[in-house]
Amino acid sequence: MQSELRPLGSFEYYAPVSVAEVVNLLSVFGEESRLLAGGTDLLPQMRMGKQLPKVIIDLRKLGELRYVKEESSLIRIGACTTLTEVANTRCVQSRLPVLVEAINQLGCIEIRNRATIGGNLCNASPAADTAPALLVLDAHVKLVGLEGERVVPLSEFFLGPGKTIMRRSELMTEVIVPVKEKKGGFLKLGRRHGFTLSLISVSASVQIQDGVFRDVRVAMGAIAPTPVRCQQVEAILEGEKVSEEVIERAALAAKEEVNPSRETGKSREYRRATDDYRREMAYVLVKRILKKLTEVGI
Amino acid sequence: MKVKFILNGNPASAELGPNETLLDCLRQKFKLTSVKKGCEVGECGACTVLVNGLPVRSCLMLAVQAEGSEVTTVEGLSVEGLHPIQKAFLEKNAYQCGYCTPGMILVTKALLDTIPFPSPEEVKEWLEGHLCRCTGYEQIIEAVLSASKALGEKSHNTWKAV
Repeated sequence: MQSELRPLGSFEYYAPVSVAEVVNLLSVFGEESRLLAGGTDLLPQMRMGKQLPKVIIDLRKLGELRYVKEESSLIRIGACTTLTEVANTRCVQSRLPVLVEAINQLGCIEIRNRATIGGNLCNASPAADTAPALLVLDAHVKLVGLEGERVVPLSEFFLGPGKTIMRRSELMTEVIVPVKEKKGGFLKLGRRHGFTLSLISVSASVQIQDGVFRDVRVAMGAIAPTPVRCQQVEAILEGEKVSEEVIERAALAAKEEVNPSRETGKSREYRRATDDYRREMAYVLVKRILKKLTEVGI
Repeated sequence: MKVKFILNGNPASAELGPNETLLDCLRQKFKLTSVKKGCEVGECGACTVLVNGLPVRSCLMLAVQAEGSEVTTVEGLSVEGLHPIQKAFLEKNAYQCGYCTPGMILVTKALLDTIPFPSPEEVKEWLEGHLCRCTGYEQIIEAVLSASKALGEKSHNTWKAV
């Protein structure tokens, strides 16, 4: 850790009981306020002085935002549902296994018992582990604020490290995930196997129809200011016959997605991995995940 | 503000500000010093307690968020003498300085309540969030497996709610 820990400062504290109340509080206090869900990102950030809200709006009484609802072709997940709750829900396990794979590699049991799916997205770390999986699943998010409700594709949600398209009075209420019959996977690389921040993560979701890649989605985390869909990689695979050769081309293209000039303005010593390492690992992970999904070369 | 919750099976209440963590509340107000202060940012596991049976980081919870919950620390396990998990840790020498031990014991309790007979891989997965600088983890994993066996043998006459 680079910075000294400071004690939690004083703040005004609210525990509203409805979404409308949250929106009202956000519109009153604006930039001085922060929403508190699981607290597994906000509290460490406050201790490290990265966030110093004067007002905390605790979402713990919003039971109405804690649910998993199955519909015929999609699954709706309340934004305040904990990651453990999401991963332990049967319909998510059977119909969105790539999301479960991502969640189970995020943090550790204790973190997942408190962290929420909405919090992981709204914190908008470029390395957020649910993001690549939700991106390849074509997830949308519902945002509710003073101006009303809107549903946006997750691919348009992130703007930069810690930055999203959310307006001041908005909170995320729901993550909406379509369900398709596709093969998916999620891999991450960190300094160790367990309980580690992603240095690079990859998720993919594909349909193999008559030996051809269809409906290809590939996304990566921790290699750009936001989690990203890898459109070059997708374009190489879409409509192509599954083969070692096309996988090799796609994996090489993944290196281009790691763009050093797009990384945040941190000086060299604070970067958690070099650009070259991330490029090499982008190739390795994309190749590994595509081979796993297609059983090529196995 | 006043916070009311169940602590180790008994009703408890505390007068505190919103910025007091559950960790500080348990250590300072309730003198439950088994709950350790390690990294204070959720990475080491020493502060782990059970809230409604689930292992969580008490350093990352505001005490006020425990309102209405059941909180369990190691002191709550050893009510009728040492809990079988504690005995297993002793028998297998699964501690040296003891700092990580309360967290290890509580996550073990949660693990065995969920998966009565875990594999070594499952033990490692559940204990992933707990750092030990002393033991090298082998004896801890053995202690968890031994505790699961002891609890299994003990429960032959009882039905356990899932």
